[in-house]
Amino acid sequence: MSSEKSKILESAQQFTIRGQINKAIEEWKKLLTDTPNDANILNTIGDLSLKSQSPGNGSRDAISYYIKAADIFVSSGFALKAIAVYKKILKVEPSRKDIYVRLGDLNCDRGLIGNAREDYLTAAKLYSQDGRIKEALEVYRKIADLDPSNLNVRIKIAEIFFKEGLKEDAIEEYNKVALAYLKEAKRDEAENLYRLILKFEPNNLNAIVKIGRLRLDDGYVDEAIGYGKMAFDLSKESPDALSLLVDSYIKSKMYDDAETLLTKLIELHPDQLSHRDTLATILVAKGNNEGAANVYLVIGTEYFNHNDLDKSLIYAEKAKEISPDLLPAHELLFEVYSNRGNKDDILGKGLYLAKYFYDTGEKEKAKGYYLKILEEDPFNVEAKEGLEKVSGEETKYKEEIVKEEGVIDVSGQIASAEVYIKYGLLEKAILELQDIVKRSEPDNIEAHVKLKNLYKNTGEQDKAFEECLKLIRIYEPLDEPDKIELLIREAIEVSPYDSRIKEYKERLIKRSQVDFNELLEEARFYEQQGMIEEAISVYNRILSIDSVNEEAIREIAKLKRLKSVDTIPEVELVKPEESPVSFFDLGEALKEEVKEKPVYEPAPMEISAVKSFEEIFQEFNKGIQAQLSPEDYETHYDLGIAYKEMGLFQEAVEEFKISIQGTPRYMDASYMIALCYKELGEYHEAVKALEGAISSQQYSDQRHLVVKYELGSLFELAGKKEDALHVFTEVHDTDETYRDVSERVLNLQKGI
Amino acid sequence: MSFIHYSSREINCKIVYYGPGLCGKTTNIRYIYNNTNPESKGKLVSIATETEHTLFFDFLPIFLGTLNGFKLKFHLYTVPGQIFYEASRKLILKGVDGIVFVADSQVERMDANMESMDNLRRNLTDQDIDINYTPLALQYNKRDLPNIMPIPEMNGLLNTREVSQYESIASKGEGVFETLKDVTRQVISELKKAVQLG
Repeated sequence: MSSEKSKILESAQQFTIRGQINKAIEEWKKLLTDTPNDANILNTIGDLSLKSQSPGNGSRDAISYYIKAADIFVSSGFALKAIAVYKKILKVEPSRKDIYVRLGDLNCDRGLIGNAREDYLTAAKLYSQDGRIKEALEVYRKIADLDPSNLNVRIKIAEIFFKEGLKEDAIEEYNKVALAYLKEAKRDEAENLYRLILKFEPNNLNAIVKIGRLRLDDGYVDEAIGYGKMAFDLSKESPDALSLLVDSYIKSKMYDDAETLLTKLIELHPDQLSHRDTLATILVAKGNNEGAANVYLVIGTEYFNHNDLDKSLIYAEKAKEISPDLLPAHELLFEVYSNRGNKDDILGKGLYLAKYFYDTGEKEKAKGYYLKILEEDPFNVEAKEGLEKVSGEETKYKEEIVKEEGVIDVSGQIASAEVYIKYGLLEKAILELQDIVKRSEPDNIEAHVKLKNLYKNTGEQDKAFEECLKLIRIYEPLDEPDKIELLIREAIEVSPYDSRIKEYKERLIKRSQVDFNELLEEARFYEQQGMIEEAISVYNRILSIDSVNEEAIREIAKLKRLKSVDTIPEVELVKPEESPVSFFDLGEALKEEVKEKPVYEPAPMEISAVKSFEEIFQEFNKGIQAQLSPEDYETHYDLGIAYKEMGLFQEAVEEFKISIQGTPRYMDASYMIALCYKELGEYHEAVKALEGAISSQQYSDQRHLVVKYELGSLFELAGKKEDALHVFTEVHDTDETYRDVSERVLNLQKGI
Repeated sequence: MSFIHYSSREINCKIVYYGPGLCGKTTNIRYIYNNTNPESKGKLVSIATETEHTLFFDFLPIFLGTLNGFKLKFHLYTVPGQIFYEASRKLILKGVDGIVFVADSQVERMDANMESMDNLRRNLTDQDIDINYTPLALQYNKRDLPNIMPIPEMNGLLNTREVSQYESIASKGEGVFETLKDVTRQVISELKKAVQLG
């Protein structure tokens, strides 16, 4: 606290003690200069103002300060302090209606509903006494919002509305109360209010319908019909009026009248499924079970489409119950079961439907249901047998058709094959497709493409290759060069050494030449425009297709030279043999050799830049052979490791095989060879390599667990479970905690 | 990832020298080879083309002692810098443990440096390796040449991760071992974190 503030406070206290209130107030007001929103100071000034010698002005001033203080307390979150200040105001001036309302708001915010109601009621009464009806109504609304169940207040509000000539507001309020009464089952009170409404507004549709409903519920059907007709006359499309009449007619068994009106109602509100439900009830009452079942089916389907499976099930069952032979009901039930995942029901209903369709000659549908059952239960014998029966007959039928008419639509067979593929029945799919190309359409492209892909999937590469050739032959007269090119590439991939593809390969290269010419033109264009990067990029694309394209190589070299700014040769060719001198001397000796040369010295573009990876590797390998002698076992071993890490397993094996000759690395190299063969999936070779390692003299106890464990794994991978168990048992006998050997032994024992 | 050979009790770690063509990667490896005790190094495998570019890769194994009873062996590789050796670079990066990115400090080589850095990032991503979490050291080589770019600018262009960077004149050995030590230290730290040895 600053000394200035302390002085003011001290002075204010002195004035207060001496009874010099006004002077004290002046001192306190000084403090407000710096902190005008200090609610405590404002409150104190309010208190002092009350004590001041001029009572009238004092009270007015006090209230003014209190209100400011309370407002600040409210906005600062000090509700209790604010309430205390408001109460002080009410002590000074008990007729301050606005303060009661503020108090009510605060109590309401704090959840003190009783206090809030009391405050609001006081305020409302005071407003009413003063004839300020609008304000009184606002407060009554607040009370009603506090406790919607306080119907007396609401009625009072409605009465005030009427008094004030606000008829619509009054009716709205009465309606709210009447509804509340209905919820509380106070039917008489509700009816009285509706009748009251009709007194003020005789054509009030809602009140007429509601009274009609109450009459109907009480069993006064004729009266209900009267109210219904009255309502219908007022609004012929009112769903409430129509519903009242329909229900009244049903109750008096006037089903035809009810049906007519209900049909109208459904036309007006087709989404209201409850109306359809009523229609079904009427149809049942009239003995039209089939009609009713169809209506239930529509409702069930609607619910199914809206994913309300529970309700869909109810209506599908209702439909089936009153019309057991209604097939769509069974189909809908099957769909609902499938979506709910009720396996037993799916199988039961699926078999029912499949048999039904089979018996009625609808084989495709029967087949569809058998397949759906198999999707749920792949081992279902009944479905499998049914499917085979259907498929067999289908083939026979098709044969007959082919025989009789010489032509057949194979789209069904293609679709069947697709279904088989979808469910993993690849052999069946192949048979179906083979049937198409053998019996119906030998050149059916879709069938051949599917067959090709199936053969590839089933590992029948020769057949896949044959299909590629067949497709090429089919595409040739159709002038489909792109497709043919793709097929040639696929055929090469499937069977690269088959001589039959040679002719096509040559054609591919010729075709590529056409593309090259286009690309070359593009590259030349860029070159002429000085767009060197773009030109190089296009030439590189050419090289990606034809790595020996001379023009591309030549032009790239030329363009690179034009563009090149860094051409410093970095190192000299490394000599194959190490220098015999010590490393420091060697460094000194090579000092000049590794010296950087000046910048901007042009370097020629190398031809190797555009070689394929295989060519680079070949060249690299030649360099290695020139640099390393076969006796350099350690370097070959290191190279083996390098290749292995690069995923070049075959190349790694070659290096390890060289290093294996050197006794120090015999064991390690054998082990690495085994790991490489394992990566290549050649487990038998891998086993052989490890057995070699075990037989070596370097094989020691220290290493044998690692090697034996690996050997056991390889036996397992090679499917030699007994050998695996034998080896793992040896490892286990030595150290049962070694890796997961105990688990492996256990699993193998169980398996064997 | 480091290859732990339990049978021979060896750990092989892979350091790759990456960077644009002719930035000095092979010079680094050669300097390391020439200045390392013969007992601690294997043979340098380096095949150069007629125009002095690296063919496929340079390769130098060096031994750094033992770690928890395992012989610690570092395999140093360089990649061919020229853009058309993409396949080789991808292969060499397989299983990488640490990277030394050698940048050419000459102003006119900045595009090539950035292109190579981008290429490194992409090739690592292809292997599901995040460059931001891989041991990495930057070497700004050829600092003795005229028209070189100041270090802050080079950092701004290449060193977004703010790793250690070393100025070097690889032909004279300046900065060569410092860079290698840095990346080796990072790799060993990662190795210790990743593997419980013994």
